[in-house]
Amino acid sequence: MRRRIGPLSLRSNTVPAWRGRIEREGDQDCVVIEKLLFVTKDMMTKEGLAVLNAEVAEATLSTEVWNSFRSEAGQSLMRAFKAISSSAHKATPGGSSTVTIPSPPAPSLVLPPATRLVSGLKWFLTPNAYSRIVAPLVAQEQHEYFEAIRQGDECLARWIGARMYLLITWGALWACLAPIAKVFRRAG
Amino acid sequence: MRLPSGKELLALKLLRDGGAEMYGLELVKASAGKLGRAGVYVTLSRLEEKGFVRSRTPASENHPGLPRPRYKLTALGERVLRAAEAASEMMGATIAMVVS
Repeated sequence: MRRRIGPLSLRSNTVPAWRGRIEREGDQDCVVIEKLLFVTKDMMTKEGLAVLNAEVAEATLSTEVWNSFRSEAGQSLMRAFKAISSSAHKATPGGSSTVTIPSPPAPSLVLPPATRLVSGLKWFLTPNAYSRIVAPLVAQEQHEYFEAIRQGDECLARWIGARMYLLITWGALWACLAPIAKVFRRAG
Repeated sequence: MRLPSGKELLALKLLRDGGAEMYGLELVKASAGKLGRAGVYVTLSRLEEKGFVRSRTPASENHPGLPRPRYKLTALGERVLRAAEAASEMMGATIAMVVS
């Protein structure tokens, strides 16, 4: 079944992204849009992740996906979106949600778990504590999470996602307490 | 320079036995429960601070998450480990001599 989207408005500093599935219609590939995302260009982070500031949802995009998004297929997708956007202002909510484009670069965008928590901790912790304790811990858990997703084990992925929050809290606590412990050790 | 603790020595030993670079989780699995999932990075962070271990993080992974760092023993770490092992052997021999 095809979903429908309402009128869109594009901000000047945003680029539309999408979440959807590919369907074959006759001899052409169609993208059925399930969610629309608005990517803010200035939200690219140093780790090569583009945090998407979404009007409808939030997601994280790797630079690889981001680059392919900007490539030929992505450009035509953007043009298609702009076309929808300009006509949708006059259309009634619930316009057509399918766009005919060449095969897109990626069928879906996935938000790695704990992304927001990590960006908060990055601000809160010292650079050393973040890069040496919290970031490797998060990277390891995210790797296991995506491995579970790849194997189709959703239950395991959910468990890893929940466990990640506990481990990150523990890791962050250690990262906070380590300098204090060092002061006491030196004094003693 | 502070000497490595028991957990730090274990991590150094596992890194030496592993040969090549290792992930934190590989160390956890190899330690048979002696190193924890969260604790291993605290231990490795201390070792890195002391210069016994060096980490290398790839630019990206094959998923949208953060890249995992790999750890390798440095020459200094290897020397410290050898010294610690020799000291422990000597201490063991002395205790055995005293007891007997």
